[in-house]
Order: sequence, then structure tokens, then C-alpha cells
Amino acid sequence: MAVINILGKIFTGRFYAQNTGFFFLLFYLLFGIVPGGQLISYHYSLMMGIVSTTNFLLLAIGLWLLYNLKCMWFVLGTLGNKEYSFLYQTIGSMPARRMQTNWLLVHIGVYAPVLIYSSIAAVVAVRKAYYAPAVILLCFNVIMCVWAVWIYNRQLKRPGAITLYHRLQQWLNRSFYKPLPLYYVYELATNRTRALLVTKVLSCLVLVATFTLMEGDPYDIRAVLTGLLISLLLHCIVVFEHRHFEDQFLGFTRSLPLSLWKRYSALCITYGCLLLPEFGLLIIHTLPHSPWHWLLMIALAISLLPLFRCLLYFPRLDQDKYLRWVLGIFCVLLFMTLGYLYIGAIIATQAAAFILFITRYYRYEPHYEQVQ
Amino acid sequence: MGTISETAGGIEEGLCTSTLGIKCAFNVKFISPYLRMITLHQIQKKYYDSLIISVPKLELPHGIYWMQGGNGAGKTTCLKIIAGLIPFEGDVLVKSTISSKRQPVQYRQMVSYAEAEPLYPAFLTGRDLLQLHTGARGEGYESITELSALLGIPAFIHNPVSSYSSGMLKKLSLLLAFTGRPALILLDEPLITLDTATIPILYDWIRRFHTQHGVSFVITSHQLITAGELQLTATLVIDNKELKKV
Repeated sequence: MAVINILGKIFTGRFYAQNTGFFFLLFYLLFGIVPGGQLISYHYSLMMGIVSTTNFLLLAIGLWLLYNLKCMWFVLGTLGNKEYSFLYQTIGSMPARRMQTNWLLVHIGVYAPVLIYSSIAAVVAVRKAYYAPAVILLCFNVIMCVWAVWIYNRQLKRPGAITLYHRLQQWLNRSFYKPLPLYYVYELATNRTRALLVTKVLSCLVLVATFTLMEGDPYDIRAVLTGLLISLLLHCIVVFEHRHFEDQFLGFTRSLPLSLWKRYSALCITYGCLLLPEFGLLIIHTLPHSPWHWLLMIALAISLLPLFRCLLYFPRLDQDKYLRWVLGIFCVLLFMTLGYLYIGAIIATQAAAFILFITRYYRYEPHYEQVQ
Repeated sequence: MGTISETAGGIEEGLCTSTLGIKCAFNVKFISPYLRMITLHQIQKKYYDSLIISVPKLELPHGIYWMQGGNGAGKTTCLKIIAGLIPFEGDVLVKSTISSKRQPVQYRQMVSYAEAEPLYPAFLTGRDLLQLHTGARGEGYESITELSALLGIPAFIHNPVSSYSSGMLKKLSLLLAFTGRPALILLDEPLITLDTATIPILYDWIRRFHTQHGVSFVITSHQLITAGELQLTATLVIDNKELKKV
């Protein structure tokens, strides 16, 4: 009993803690957007759709398979973590049946949301005489659990074995190299995933809300630009962290023979790549109204975020002072946009960012520079 | 025959005949001892108005220099100044003409720096870093593939640096410093964490790059780097926050 409690803390507890944002969003989509009185009928219809329509069933199974992979990824990742290497000596020395039971309980713990929802759907299917979908759901869940337990057991018996993920990673590393402008995007995607996910979800929600509010009214670029400005403002903490990343890990790039122009272009490309989801939304919604408006917005985005970053070339600018400057710039740009001065605003922002960059780059030194 | 300038040097190439009568081609870079490889002019580095290091005037001809100083004396700060990594008052010139402030790109083309304790983003592989350096610095004096093979780097070059030991990371950072065609290579504590088999290889590189390619070196080390291994031109000492040639 004690072992499963410890495993529960190591795997199940940490899994839900690390994925709070994901579950919060999922909970909101499943229960938050439907009025309380219609909640049961909504989910009943959803389950009926799953069990009565083949395509819908395949879609649901596909999404649940992805979730199962996410669970297995997490457990295998924890097993590969140096901090948890003691698990090989502890669980690994248990009798086979007990070890498998423990793994099954661990997997049921992390896989529970899908298991519960699909089990209820299977009960609905049986009650409505959709026996084949009910059997499919049952078999699917059994396969997901047995597969996971087999993989965990295999990993435990072969510590240090190269997983499929690592093989894939090695192949990617051999086939492609990471260009300098993408370093921070990689950093966000690998080590600061939560910050990136929260920023992107909020930013895209702001843009979607903007376009939803505009429906029915005549198209006005100022309204879209206002939504975009708020969306960009939400990136200010990610930009603030960029300085920390560069100070800590990219000091060596300052000794490379790259012109300031190339370095500044790399900075704009970094933020351009970071804003690709927003650009997609903007193109979809603005292209039918004006073919050049989306270009204007992309220009604003790759001017404003570099400007926020260039402010940080003043080493004594802490987070409080930085946020004051960011809000000040946001207000100025907002008023310029509302006053139809958006082209001037974009030119001024880009010029300010570039001037700050070329004048400050070589003069910048991290605030905590160690003296040796 | 190549051209040799009295003040700057040049490339001597031609044919020679050995005592066994075998003819062979040679290509040796000749660097004039009168050429001022590094000129530090009125350098001052301060942190919060506190002076860290000062160099009123120091001219170093082509050579291999050992920089000495106790812990916290300012050796790394001095190397970072010469490498153009941190801002400072004054100016550093390479080959008397290329200024770290007026021609920052050309200057960085001429100066390479290997950190004492290199730190890179965890997700990058050795290949990514090598690609970045060779892409920025251009073709080197020698084949980078052969140099990396000598250090055993190909065995782990495709792995993320987060999986490297400190010795592997050190080998990679040293290799990166030998990319391109620098006139000056700064090595900050190059011997720490290196295995005993690699140290002679590094010494051989330093000797070869110095004599054949005309590269000057400034090396900081708490370990004795002479002992018949390297012929030092002079020793640099940081005494009372001032860098001097001994």
C-alpha cells in the first residue's frame, strides 16, 4: 500500500500538477461553456454522437490515443530523470506480478479522465444497443492500459535503453541544425513550455474574441490592431525572460563576427516565429477584407516585440520598470492606432527598436556579471 | 616564392629538397616579430565605480602569452575585454589596425575565445554549435572534421549538450575557438576538466597554429603550462589591478 502511495506522489500527483493549465482548459471546454441546466444533455448528446457515428468515434479514439501517449511520455520521462533513478532499484526488484499491478494503478491514475469518460460512453452505448462501439471502447481502453504497462515494464528492465523518442530526436539532430534565431523558440518549447502555452492560449483567445466582437459590424482595421496590441502585450513576460536566457546561455554569441544588422534581423525572426499562430489567425480573418492589412499587422508585431526586447538592453531595467515602459508604449500606440496613425506607429516602433539595438547592443552587460 | 612584408609578415612557399633527395612543397606563414598583434590602449573596466582592471598601454607582438593572477584578480574579465564580450573604456587593436570598437565584426573575425566553464542552451547539439561558429567565422586554417576527430567529438556531436560531461563540453568549446581564421585565440583555463590524453593534442594545436598559421595565444591557467610543452613569448601578470608584461 505504501509503495503505491509513493508512486502516486511521484507520477499521478506530479502529472496533474504539471498539467494544471491543460486540465483547466479542458474542464472549461467540457463544462464551462455550457449552461449548468444543459450540462447532462450536452454530454449525453456528445456520447451518443461518439457511439452512433463511426467518424466521430474514430476522432474520439484518436484524441484519447494522443492523451494516452502524453501519459506514457510523462511516466517514461520521469523514469529517465536522474532524480528518480532509485525507482529502478526499488520497483525493479519487486515480483513481476506486483510490479505490473503497481504500473497498472499508476497508469489508471494518469489515464483516469479518458477512462471515466469513455466508460460512461460505453455504458450509454450498451443501454442504446450500440454493442459494437461499446466493445470497441472497452477493447481500446484495455489495449491502452496493457500497452502502457508493457512499455513501463520494458523500460524498467532495460535502463538506459534508447527509446523511440530518442531515436527520433537523434535523427532530427543529425538531419537538421538549429539556426540562431530559433534558439529562444526552442528554449520556450522545451524548458518553458507552460509559459509559452499560457501566453499563446491567452493571446489567441484575445484575437478570437476581437474577431467575434467585430462580427456584424463593419470591418475596422483599428479594432483588429487594438486586439493585436493586447495580444502582443501578453507576450511581455516571455520577452522579459528572453533577456535572462541570453544572459545565461548566449553570452558566447557576442564574440561571433556577426554584424548588428544580422543580429537585429535574427531578433525580428525570433519574434516572427514566436507569433506564427497569431499571424495565421490574422491572415484568415483579415485577408478577405483587405489583402495588405495582414502585412501591416505582421509589421506591427515584429516591430513591437523587438522594441520590448531592446528596452531590456538597459541592464538596470528590472521587471517593474520594464512593465511601466511596456504599458506606456502600449498606451501611445493604442492612441495612435485609434487616431488612424497606425502606419506612423509601426514606423516609429521599428525605428525605435532598431536605434535602441544598434546603440545598446555592444554596451550591454548583464547586471549580475561575475567578476573574476 | 611568396611575398614577405618586413612589418606584417607574409606567406613563404616553395620547394625544398630533403637530405634524402626528396622534393617537397612548403607553405609557412611568416609573422614579423615587429608586428604588434594586440594593442591595449587605456583600458579600464569598472563595476559600480569600482575599478576591476586597468591597462594604460600594452603592446604584445605575435606570440604565446601566459596570463597569471590569483583568484578574482581579473583574468577572465581581461580576456572578455579582449574578446569583445563586455563593454569597457579604451580600445583594443589587433594587428595595430583593427579596432574592437570601430570594426567590431572584423575584430571578432580575428579573435576567438574559449571560456573556462562554457555554458550553452541544453537543447543544442555539438553540431548546432559547430555549424553556428563555422557559418559565422568561415573556412578555417585546418579541416574542422579532422580536428574534431582528434578530440573524439564525432562520437557525441549529435547529442544535446545537456548530456555532455564537463570534459566533453570543454573539448567542444576549445574546438569552437579553433574555427575560422583568427589571428588571436584566447584560452581561459584550457586545461581544467580535460583528460590527460587531450592535453598533448591541445599543446600540439597551439604550437601548430602558432608556427604554421601565425596565430597568437593568450592563455590563463593555474597549472604550469610551460614545462617544456609550450615556448612562451612572455608572461602577463595582473598585479594590483593592472595588467603588465613580465
